[in-house]
Amino acid sequence: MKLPKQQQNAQEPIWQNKKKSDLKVALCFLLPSLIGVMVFIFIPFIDVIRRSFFGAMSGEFVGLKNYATIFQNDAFKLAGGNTLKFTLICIPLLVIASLGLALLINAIGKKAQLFKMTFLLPMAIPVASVVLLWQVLFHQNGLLSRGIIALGGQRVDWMKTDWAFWILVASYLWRNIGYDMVLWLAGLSTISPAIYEAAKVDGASSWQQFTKITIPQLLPTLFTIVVLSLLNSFKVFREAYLIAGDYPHDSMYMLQHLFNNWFVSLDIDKLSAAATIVAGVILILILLLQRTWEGDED
Amino acid sequence: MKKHIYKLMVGLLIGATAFGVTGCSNNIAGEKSSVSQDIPMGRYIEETVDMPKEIKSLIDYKVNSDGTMEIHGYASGNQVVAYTSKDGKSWESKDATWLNDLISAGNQLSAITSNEKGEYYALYYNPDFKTRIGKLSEGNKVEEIPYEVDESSYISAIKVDEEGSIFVGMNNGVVRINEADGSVITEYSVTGTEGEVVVVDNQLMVIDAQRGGLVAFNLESGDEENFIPYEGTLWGSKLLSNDEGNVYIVNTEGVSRLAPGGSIWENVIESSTSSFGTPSLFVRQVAMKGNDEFSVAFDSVEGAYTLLNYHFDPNVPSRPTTEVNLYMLEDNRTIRQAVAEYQRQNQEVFINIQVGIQEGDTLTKADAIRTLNTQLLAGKGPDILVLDGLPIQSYMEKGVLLDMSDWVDGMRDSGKWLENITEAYRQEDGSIYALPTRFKVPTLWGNKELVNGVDSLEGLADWAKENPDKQVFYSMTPEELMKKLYGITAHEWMDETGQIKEDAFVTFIESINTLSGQGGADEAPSMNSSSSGMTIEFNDADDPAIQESIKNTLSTEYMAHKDVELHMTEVEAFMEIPYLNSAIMQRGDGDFGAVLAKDGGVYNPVGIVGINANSKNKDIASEIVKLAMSKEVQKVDLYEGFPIDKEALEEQAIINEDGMMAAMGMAIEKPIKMQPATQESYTKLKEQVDKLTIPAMTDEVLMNLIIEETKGYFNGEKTANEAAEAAAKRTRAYLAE
Repeated sequence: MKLPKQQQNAQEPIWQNKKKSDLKVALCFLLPSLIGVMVFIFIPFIDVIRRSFFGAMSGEFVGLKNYATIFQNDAFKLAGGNTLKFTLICIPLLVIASLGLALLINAIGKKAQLFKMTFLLPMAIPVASVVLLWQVLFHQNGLLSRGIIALGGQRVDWMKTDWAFWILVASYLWRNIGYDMVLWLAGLSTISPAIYEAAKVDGASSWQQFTKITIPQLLPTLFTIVVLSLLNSFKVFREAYLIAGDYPHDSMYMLQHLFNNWFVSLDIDKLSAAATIVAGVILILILLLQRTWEGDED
Repeated sequence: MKKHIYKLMVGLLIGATAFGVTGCSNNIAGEKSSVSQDIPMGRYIEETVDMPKEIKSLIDYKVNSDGTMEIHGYASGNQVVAYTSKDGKSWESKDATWLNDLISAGNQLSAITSNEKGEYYALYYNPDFKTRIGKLSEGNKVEEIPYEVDESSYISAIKVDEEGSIFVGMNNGVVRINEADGSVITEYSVTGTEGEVVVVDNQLMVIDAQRGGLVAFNLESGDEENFIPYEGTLWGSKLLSNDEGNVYIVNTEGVSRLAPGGSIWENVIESSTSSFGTPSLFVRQVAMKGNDEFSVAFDSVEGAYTLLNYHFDPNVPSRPTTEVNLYMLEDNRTIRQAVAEYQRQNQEVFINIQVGIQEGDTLTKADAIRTLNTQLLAGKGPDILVLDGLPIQSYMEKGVLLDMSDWVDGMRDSGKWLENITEAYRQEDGSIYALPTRFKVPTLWGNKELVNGVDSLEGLADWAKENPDKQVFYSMTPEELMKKLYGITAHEWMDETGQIKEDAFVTFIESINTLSGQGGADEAPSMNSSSSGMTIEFNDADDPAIQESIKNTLSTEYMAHKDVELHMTEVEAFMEIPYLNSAIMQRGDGDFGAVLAKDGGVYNPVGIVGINANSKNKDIASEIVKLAMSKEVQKVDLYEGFPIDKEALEEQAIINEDGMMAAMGMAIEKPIKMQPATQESYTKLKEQVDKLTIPAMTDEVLMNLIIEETKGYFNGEKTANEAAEAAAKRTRAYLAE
């Protein structure tokens, strides 16, 4: 015999009812954003993956031919290599530097507000202004060259030499260090001082406290910071593009340059295959990091 | 209660999102709009009227109140003739003795006009070169109206009304004079007028092109009462009015109407659907036929005249239902000519021209190409593509373009085209996806020993070293010289895959260095000119196009005076030859030829057209391309390059006996004695054209990369080998893509 609804509901614990109801409301609020992401990002990306198995305009199924083509493409190898090199250098540097800054500022306490603001300011500067700054500093007639001439050297157009890569790295670090520092500070603030006190009482040194308490407690924050830094590393293309155009010096030639140029020449098949690979690599990296974090948490 | 409010808010959010997503319509150009049931009807239809064949040059055209068309013009032998026609099908001769008598008396006729009463007036220069206005009176005599024109003024037009007032349009305003005694009745102050006036309801309407609008003056007092701005250029515009008080502006943008008391211009005839947009036609004179029909006499670049009547047909759709889209990265007059011609012959088709980069745009070429590619990828690109500046090779490889060999082969076999030019884009398998509609020829003018004896850049550089007291080219920076020679010589230092051959490239840049190092190249050319004692200043000195033009002229002058040995220029019309020929004649030991014509010579294809393989209007697109390549369009010299139609080229290569005048030229520093054009020079250039075989390299990206990497060499910071290595390395990524 079926119980009336009221009695049915009465069978379930109240907290489960509330959880279901909250879930429904939450889903409803998430739905518009989800629809937007689906329509403008996810579904188009599925289309990109689909296009990577077809000819650019013919619509002819070519299997893995596009993937094979891009791995043999010198431009892809150069751009991919530069992007990988940039990521492998910048992420660890940024993480370590921003953590160091966060620890220092955390130690200073409330008096460190001015420093916090100073480090955050570069992120607020528009890209076009940053590009202007680069020109003033690194152009062959810029301040750096003038300084070198004053010391008896020859002027250099820094953006057209191998130094261009390191300028890009420096710019990335300069713009993002404040942001990551704030994230670290947020992570640090969640660590209970009682743990440090207990450790002190047990005779733990500063280094031991750092390695045994601070670092493990910051692992979730590390995951967030690494992922965000990785995604932000692709934004450095904006400065590189504004200052050096479609074809910058080889050391600065990134995947986005290549994708941009492939779109102009209608190489959509190669573009789709390369984009799929890049997305796949980033996804695997994030999942690996998440797994590592989960493993460490356990 | 809270739950209900939450649900309501969520529902509204979802609704708004769904509306926003579905509201974003995919309205990319190229998509034919679906034909709805309610198509707006009514549009002006164009009708060609055959002009009397005897008329070689138009003096005046009007339509009388009874609808009779009346033309005055010059026939052969400078005789003035006049014709009238009721229906435009046949013309009757009318007496024009009074004008011929006027001319025989030593006067020079400038214009004639008449009023509704049939009274005629003439504007002319008397034997003392004074401007005079005369009225045709009894006995076919011209009575001079005693109006003295100020020497600083120039009369551009005259108009008359029934009351005996004559409106005289001058460079500094309009005056109303009494025909009886020539006294000034009223003055109207306007600075940007060409004399176009109409009288509407006690107001005089005058076009002020400088201010950009129509000025309404009180007819009696001359006070300005109103100014109605007009968007678009007004220079060369004509003014009309009808009995209902509507005012019309007629120009290359079409016909726009201003209602009585209104301030908004309404476009009644668009240039895109009429001959007003034809690049080769200029509005010469206009007339109202009744209250809402127009009759327009067009002048063409070929010196011919076209008469077109426009009448409103309420039974045709306001816009043709068949729409064909054409895309060009930058404007091309030959294609516009073909489009206008096609639309005139097929008034049921509308060709929508999209220009990727308009004048004054800040959009880059790459951005414009990306926008186009987005359309192509969506399967909704334009039907016809003008491929100049677009990645032609990529489009061909990706199957974007339609293979036109089915009909192109027939044209090739008929021998109508210059095969050496039109076959530039023929593929190995016989397919052809792109056709150039015109071409330009890079040429050298000057020392005949160099023009005829040296066939490589290296040879020129060697000659320069052996003759250090002589300068080969007018002062040019290495970058300028490289830009001029890049397209012409690229096939020598680039292999088939586009990679730089370093050894050959070293030779190339060393030669550039030698040749550009001869003059003090970095200064901008002189901005003042003296010619016949007149000093001319160039106000737009910073405009690169003007700079380039000045340098070109100076280069010719220096070459003529043997201060430099050679002048290099890209010739795009036979009309350029007289000036250049005068320069080499003055030089004495001069000749000309295609630049470094070792392998037949290089040409620069322009107006390259292709058809979108996904086009739903392939037949119409093919017809338009065929028309663009036909003699009908090709014979019109639009200064965009030589025609690829053999007959059109041959006709242009023959000097017009009627127009065999000495070349006109304005000297900047060193005057050149102008000589009449010679048939020999025209024929020689035509013979060179027949031998051209190599299309110039037009890859701007590659050129800019090479220029950047070689700057260090020209500045003395790198050796030639280092520069070549750097250029090869820098271009590798681009070529590898």
